[in-house]
Amino acid sequence: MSIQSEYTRLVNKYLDSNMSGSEKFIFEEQLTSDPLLKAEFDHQNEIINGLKEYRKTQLKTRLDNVTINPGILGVISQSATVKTLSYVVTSILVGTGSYMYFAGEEVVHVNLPAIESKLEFVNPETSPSPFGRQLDYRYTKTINPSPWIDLAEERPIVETLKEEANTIDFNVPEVKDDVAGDVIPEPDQILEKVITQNVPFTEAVKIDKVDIENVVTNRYKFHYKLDNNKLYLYGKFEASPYEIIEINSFQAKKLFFYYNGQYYRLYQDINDISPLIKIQDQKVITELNIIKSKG
Amino acid sequence: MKDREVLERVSKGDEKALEYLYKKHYRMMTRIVLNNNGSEDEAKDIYQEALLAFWQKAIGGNLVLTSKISTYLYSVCLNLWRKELDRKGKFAENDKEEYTFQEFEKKERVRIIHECIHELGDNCRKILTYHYFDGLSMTDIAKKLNLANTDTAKTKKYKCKKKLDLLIKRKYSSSDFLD
Repeated sequence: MSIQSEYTRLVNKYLDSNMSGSEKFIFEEQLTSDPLLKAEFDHQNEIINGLKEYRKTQLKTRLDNVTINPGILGVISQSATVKTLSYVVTSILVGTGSYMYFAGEEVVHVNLPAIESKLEFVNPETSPSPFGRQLDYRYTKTINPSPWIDLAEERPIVETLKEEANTIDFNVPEVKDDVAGDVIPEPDQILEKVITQNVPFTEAVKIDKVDIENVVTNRYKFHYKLDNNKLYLYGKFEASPYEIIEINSFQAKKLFFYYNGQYYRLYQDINDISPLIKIQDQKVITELNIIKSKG
Repeated sequence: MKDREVLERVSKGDEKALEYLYKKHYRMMTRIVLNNNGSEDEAKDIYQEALLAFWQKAIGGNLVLTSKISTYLYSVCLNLWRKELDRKGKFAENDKEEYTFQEFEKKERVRIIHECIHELGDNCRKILTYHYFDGLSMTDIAKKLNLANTDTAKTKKYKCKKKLDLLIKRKYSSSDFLD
């Protein structure tokens, strides 16, 4: 027997665990000192590892061929009905999404004029009211010292309302007329506001009797004070006919004083003696004349 | 099939029982890897490795189950995947070219050995693989392969191993793997 064969026999005996304790000890000692034995040992180890790998691959291939049943979710997801349903749902989602995306812009665009028309009542200075006409006005950004009629763009309300009816309601909050920012409205402008809202005068207006007392004094020339439904006139007033016009709107009661062919606004909530200020707006005067003639 | 029955069949080298076990716990075991940044292939490979480790231990009589088979497999899968992640991390740090060369040489040797194993006859292949990988005793191999007795199995195993050895050495010489 050659040395090579002897080494092979020894290594196989060792790897098969067929050596006694002393034989094993001697072999391991020899393994560290004999390179040929070490080479044969490595070679035999390689073969055994190769055999192991071979078998492992064989078993793994066998396991790979095992059919794994899909879980419940897998079965459901693979069924034709669920697939069809998923396609339908996806189509609906895509369609709805597209509609919402494109229609969203359109709705905003259409409603912008409606929002503007509601905002135009906010600022009395910028919402002039053509007396007796059903018109609304759009405020332009430019502050123009020219008369208000030049700033306005005439647009019938009726048309706007039709347009709103065809669109989705955004519930745009109504802006209260009395919210006018820091601007204290002039008496004429307040009246304008009331008229702009198209309050039916036949229902809201009535002429009431108010007691009038003339207080002759040098201190005041043309003043007044309202107290407990009684009008005190301070100054030298002629004995010409006086008239009190009361307008009851759904928001407030407004009093006007007619004297000597002129109209004056009376404020009830002012406790002090105040000067009478003449109404100069021709349209307001015209309207008051109509009311006066009816009364 | 209950765990005890499965273990009994596996320890006798019943490959059908191995298939049953593989199928039974596939979803649960592969999920360990899939939920921890692993791919479907990696998950399957780890599970197969764990199952084969269980197979070898069961046949070798080295397995004492103190829990369910699924619990055992779960912990093996978890450990194997941790090792794999660790190996991946170390591989990224090492010199890639040197590693590739070593791998190439090793793979060549393994390829030659596999070639030679394949050239062996079916019986030889079974005797050697059952013995070295599965850890079946010569008596069990004799029974499984319908050999006359244990000694016949031993002699056959010796001859088959010698044949394989010669085949490999011949191929190594032609491929300059041997000095």
